Amino acid sequence: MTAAALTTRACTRRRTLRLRLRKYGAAFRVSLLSQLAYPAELWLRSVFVVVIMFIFSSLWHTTFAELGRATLGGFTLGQMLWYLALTESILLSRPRDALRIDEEVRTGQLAYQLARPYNYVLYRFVTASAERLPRFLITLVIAGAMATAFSGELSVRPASLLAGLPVLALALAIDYCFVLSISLLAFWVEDASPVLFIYDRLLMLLGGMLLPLSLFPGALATVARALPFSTIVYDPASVIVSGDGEAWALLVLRQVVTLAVALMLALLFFRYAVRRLQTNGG
Amino acid sequence: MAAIEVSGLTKQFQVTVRGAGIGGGLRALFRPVRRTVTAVDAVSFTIEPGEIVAFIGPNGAGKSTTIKMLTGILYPSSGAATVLGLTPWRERTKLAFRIASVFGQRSQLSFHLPPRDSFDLLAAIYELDQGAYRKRLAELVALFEIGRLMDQPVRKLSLGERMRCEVAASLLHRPEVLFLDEPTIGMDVIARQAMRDLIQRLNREEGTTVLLTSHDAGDVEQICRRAIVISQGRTVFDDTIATLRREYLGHKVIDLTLSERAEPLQYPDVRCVEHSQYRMKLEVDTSRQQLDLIVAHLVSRLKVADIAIQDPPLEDVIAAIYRRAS
Amino acid sequence: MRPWQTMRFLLQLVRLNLRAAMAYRAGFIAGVGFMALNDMMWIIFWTLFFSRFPALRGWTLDDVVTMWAVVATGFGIATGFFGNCRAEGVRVIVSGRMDYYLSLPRNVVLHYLGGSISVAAFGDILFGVLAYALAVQPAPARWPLFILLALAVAVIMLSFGLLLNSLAFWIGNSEGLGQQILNVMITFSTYPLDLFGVAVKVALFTIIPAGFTGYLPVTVLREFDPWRLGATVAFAAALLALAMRVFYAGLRRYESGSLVATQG
Repeated sequence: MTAAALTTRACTRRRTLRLRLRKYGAAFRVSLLSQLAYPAELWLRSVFVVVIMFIFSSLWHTTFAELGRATLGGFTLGQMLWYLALTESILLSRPRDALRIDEEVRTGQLAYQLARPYNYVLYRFVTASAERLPRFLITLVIAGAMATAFSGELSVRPASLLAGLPVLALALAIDYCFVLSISLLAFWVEDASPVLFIYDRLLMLLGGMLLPLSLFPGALATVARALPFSTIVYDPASVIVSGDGEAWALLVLRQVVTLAVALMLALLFFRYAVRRLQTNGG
Repeated sequence: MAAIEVSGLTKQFQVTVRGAGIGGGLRALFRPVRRTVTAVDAVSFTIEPGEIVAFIGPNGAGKSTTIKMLTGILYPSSGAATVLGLTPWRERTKLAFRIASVFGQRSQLSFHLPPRDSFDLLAAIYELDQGAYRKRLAELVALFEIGRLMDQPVRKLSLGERMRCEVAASLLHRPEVLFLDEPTIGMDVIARQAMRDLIQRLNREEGTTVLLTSHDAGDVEQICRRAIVISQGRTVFDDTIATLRREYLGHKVIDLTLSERAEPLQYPDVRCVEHSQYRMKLEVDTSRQQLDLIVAHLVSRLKVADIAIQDPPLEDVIAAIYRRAS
Repeated sequence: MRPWQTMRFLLQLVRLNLRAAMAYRAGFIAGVGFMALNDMMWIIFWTLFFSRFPALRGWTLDDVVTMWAVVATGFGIATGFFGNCRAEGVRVIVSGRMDYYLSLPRNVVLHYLGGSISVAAFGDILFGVLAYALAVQPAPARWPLFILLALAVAVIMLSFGLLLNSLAFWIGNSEGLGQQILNVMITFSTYPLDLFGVAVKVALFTIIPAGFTGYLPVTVLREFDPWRLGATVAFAAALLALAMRVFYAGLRRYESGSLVATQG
C-alpha cells in the first residue's frame, strides 16, 4: 500500500463517517423543528409545570415554616424547590409517545424501519433527544424561575448547573435505554404500555421525584438508593443543587456503569427482537 | 298533506376566516374577519308521501345544509319548511320520532359491539314498547337478511353488511320519512344492488317517503322516480327521472388511451370532448347511435391501449342542466 | 311517562357503553387496575411524607386519604358514566357528530355527555371506595355522607367539564386548553387547601372550584356540618345549571351553522 493510497483510505473513511453522522444530525434537526412548529403545545404543557411547582412550593414552604427548620433532608427551602425543578424537568420532559417503538412493533412498521440505511436504535435516540430537549429546557426555565421566586433566592450556583449538564445528559440517556428495552417488550407482550406505566411510577416514587430520598424512612431509603432509578432522578438533582464536587464525580461514575448495563440490556433486547422479526416476519 | 313542503328556504352563513390552532381561534373570537356565504338560496319544492326523490348536486351545492334544516339541526335565515306538517327547527324532538336519517359516513352502531346491542339502545331512544320492538326487529331482520350479522361485532362486518344494518336500525321506529345520504358509497356492485332493492321494497311495502342524496347515477336512475338538482344553493331541475334520462343521461363517454397518436375519427351524433397526444374522449348520443358499433370501429381503426366506457359524470349533467336553466 | 323513558334511555346507554368497554376484557381490567395503582402512588407519597412530618396545618394522613377518596370516587362517577365531560368531548362538537344527537328524540345534553365513557374511571371509583374503607376505616354512619359527597363532587366535575367543552361552540377546537384547565382543577382538588394563601383560596372557590371538591367534603366527613354540606350540594346544583345554560346557548349557535362556517 502506497502512502498515497493509505491517506486516501483514511480520508474516505473520515468522509464516510462524516456523511454517516450527518444523517443523524439531520434527523435531530427535523425532530427538533417539528416540536417547535407547535409552540402552543409547549406552552400549554407549561401550565401543568406551573401548577405543580406552585403547589409543591406551597407545600414545602408551609412544611419548613411549621417545623421552624432551616433544612430538611439536607436541603434548604430554596434547594428543595430547585431539586423539584430539576426532577420535574428530567421526568416530565419525556414525550408521551416516548419512543414509538411499541407502536411500530404493534403495527409492523418496525420491519420497514430496519431496512433503512441507519442504525435504528441510534436514530430513535437522536429523534427522542430532539423531542425531549425543548421540553426539558422550557420546564427547567419555568420551574427554576418559580423556585427562585418562591424561595426568594437563587439556590443553585450557575457553575453547578453547567457542571450538571453531563450528569443530566447521562440521566436522560439511562432513561432512554430503559424505555427502549421496555418498548421492545412489545415483541413478546401484546402491549408494553402497562410496563412503561409501572416504570414511570417507580421512577416518580423510588427515584425521588415527589420526595427526596434523603427524607425516606431508613429501610426504604437504602433500597431506593441502591436501585438504578435514583441515578436518573434523585442523584443528578441533589448533586447539582448541593454543588458537591466529590458527589458529582462519584455520580458520574455510577451513571456510566448504569448506562453501560442499561445499554447492553437494550441492545440485547434489540438483537433478540430483530431475530424474532426475521423469523416471524413481524 | 305533503310529506315535505319547502318554500323559499334560505340559509346564509357568516363565515369567520380563522387561523390555525388556539391562537387563531381566540383571535377569531375577539377580532373576527367575516364574509357572508349563501348556502341555500330560496329553495322550494314539495314531496308527496310515498315518493322516492333523488337530491343531487355537486359538493358544496347546499344539499346537506338543506337536509340539516329539514331535520331540524339548523335553522334557516328565511323561508319556510314543514316535514309531516311540523316545522323541523321548532318541533325537532316531536319530528324526530317520525323521521330517520342515515349518513354513509356517520355510523349509528357501536363499533365494538354486535348490532343487536345498538338496536336495543335505539328501542329505548325511540321509546318503543318491548313487544312491538321485538316484532319489528324480526320483520327488519328478515327484510334486510341480517339475521346472521346481528350477533357479530360491527367492526367485523363488511361495508355492505354494515350499511344494511344501519338502514335497518333507522327503520325500527317506522319513520314516515327517510333521509338517505350516500347509502351505497364504497360498496361493490352486488352490495349496491342489494341496497337499491331494499330501498325499493321498503317504499313499496311501507310507503316510506325517501329523500336520497347520491353521487351514483345508478342509484338515481334505478330507485328514484324524481330528481331535484341543486347547484350553488338553487334548484335547477325538479322533474321526473324519465325527463332527466331522456334529456341528459342519454350519453355514454368512451375514454381511449392510444399507443399511437391519431386524429379523432368523425361519426354522426358523436362529439369529441377531449383530445390530447395519447388520449381521446368521445361522447356518444346513445339514443341516436349504436355504442357497440362505434366502439368496434374505433378499436379496428386505432391502436387502442386502453378503453373505458362511462356514464357522463353527474357533475357534467348538472352543469349542463344549469347551463340550460340560466 | 317521560321521566321513566329518560331513565330507560340512560340505563340502556350506560349498558351499551359498559359492554363496549368490556368487549376488550384485558384492556378494561388493565385500565381499571392502572388507574387504581396510579392513585395508590400518591397515597404512598403522602404516607411517606406524613411519616416524617406528622401534620400539615392541621391536616393528617387520614384527611388527605379522605380527600383523595372523595375526589377519586366523584371524578370516577363523572367520567365513568358521562365520559364526554372530559376534554375529548370537544371532538363531538368540532367534528359535527353533535348532528347525530340532535337528530334523535332525546335530551341532547344527556346523550352528549353519556356518549362515551372512561374505563380508567372505574379504577378511580374502586380506589376511592377501598381507600376510604381500608385506610380511614370510618364509622358506618359516615358512608351515606361519603356517597352523597362523592355524587356532589361528580356533579361538580361533570358540570365543569361541560362548561369547558362548551367553549368549543365559540372558539373551535379547544381540547388542548380544556384539558389543561381540567387538569388544574383535578390537581388542586387533591392538595390540602390550607397550604395556600388567601388569594389562592378565593380563586379555588370561584374560578377553579377545587375548594368545593377537595376541601369542603373533607371537613364535612371529619366533622359533620350541615351548612358546609348544604353549600357543597347547592354549589353542585348551581354549577350544573350554569353549565347547561351555556351548553344550550352554544347549541343554539351550532344550529345557526356559524360553527360549521368557522372551520373554513
